Amino acid sequence: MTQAPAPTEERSDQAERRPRPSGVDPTGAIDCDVHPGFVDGFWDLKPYIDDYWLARIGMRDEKGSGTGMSQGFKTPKAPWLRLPAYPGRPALRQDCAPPGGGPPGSDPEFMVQDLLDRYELGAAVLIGGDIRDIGGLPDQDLAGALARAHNDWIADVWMETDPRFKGSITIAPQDPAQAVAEIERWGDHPSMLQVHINNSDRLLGKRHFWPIYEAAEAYQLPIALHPGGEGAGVNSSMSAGEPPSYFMEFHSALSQHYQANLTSLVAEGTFERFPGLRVVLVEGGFAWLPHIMWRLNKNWRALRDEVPWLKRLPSEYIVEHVRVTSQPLYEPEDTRHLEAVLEMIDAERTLMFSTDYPHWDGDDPVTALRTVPASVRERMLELTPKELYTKLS
Amino acid sequence: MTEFVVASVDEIPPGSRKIVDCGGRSVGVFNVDGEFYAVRNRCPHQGVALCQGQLGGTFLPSAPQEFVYGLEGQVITCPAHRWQFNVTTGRSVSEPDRVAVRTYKIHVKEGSVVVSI
Repeated sequence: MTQAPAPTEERSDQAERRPRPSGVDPTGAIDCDVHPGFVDGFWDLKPYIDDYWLARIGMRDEKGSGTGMSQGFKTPKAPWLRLPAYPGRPALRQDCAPPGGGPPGSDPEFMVQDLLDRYELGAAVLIGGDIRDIGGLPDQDLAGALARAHNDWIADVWMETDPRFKGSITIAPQDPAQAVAEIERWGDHPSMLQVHINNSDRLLGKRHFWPIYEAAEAYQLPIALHPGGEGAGVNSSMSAGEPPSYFMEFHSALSQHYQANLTSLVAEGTFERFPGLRVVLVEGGFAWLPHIMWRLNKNWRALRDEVPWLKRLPSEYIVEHVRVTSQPLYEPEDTRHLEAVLEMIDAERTLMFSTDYPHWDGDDPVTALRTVPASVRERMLELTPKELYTKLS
Repeated sequence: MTEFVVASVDEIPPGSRKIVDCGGRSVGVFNVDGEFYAVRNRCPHQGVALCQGQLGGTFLPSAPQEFVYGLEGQVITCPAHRWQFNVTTGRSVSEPDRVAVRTYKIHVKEGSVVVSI
């Protein structure tokens, strides 16, 4: 148990009023899922988008100027993506609103106080918030332009604020050539740790994506998956069949998207073809992983000759190549069940700590991990992320 | 028991709340229709500042596709994971028998609101 650092004059009221209870010590931890948000929607990206695209999306003129080129732009959203009777923007915690204004997660300096300093974290891996629906755009070039602009914004606004802010290279899934170019543009940047491939209907094991994996492997950048974009625009729902009715329903079943994509990655031999590739499943849960591992293993023993490029048990590929983030941590009635699942997924190798700040269901670094065995905690907070993200060492 | 004078009655009109410090404990003081209630400003889930959340009513248990709004002004929704508590009892709305937030005795004396801990 550690004491919170003494509040300074500069600390906001908001950060001071929230009590810090006792529990796990997150000092030095790498938070593997943090969301930067726009202050004013896609207007925040205007400085980083070419004139042609600004004209296409109606942002060429200044906001509020009343011209036809100033009506603003939004990516299409999945229909269930709102929480009922929740003030402000959907899915954001109310107690993280920056005192200077703007939605939770939109003020880098406040996030430094409210997350990095408050918990004395070693780093926060930023992964796109408002950009996540670009995989649902039918226009592959617009998607690519927005992805590029987002990466510029992360470097310009977030990384300039604090070296502990690390980034994910956002890429759009529609056009691998643009994605590869973007990986090459940022691959050597010391603070870009991974490639966030935005969701679409294409399964990640398909060779459509292999040029992306080749580039990511060459730069030693893991590929990251995160919820968002499913059901948006041209994308199908994340569930088998039609879109769910309720946000609660979607959120409970979203691992389906991960299951399909992980199974595809394994079955297509991606990890044989790219032995250096790593994949991070962010915020997708992990209690479904034993099911997939066991099922794949059993079927490999029977059907190996259909997929002869798989030379080992599929579960071995998974434990070697795949990492999962902890939030939202399961809260079973019997904590021994959580421990059993952690053992099944070899959590000391595969699990990485995350808060999902500032989302509504984020895990508190001090209190949320009390049910995790010490041997797993010791690895997940700092050691496993640092082994994966080689630029952190 | 220690008594803490946390506000004047006029400071917390019906429907409003104030978050106060009682000897190092953060406490939410609520005025629900003229009656005062004091609740620990710490959610039993992950320790977040519960009393900063939305205050209002909620949809009560009902039949499918039936919506029954009630407990107007009595329900605090935790700003983190949205656990809901009735501030007049401290009990969770979804699991009243198993989950609760700490409540404190509170009374009014000579125009002042007093919390006893």
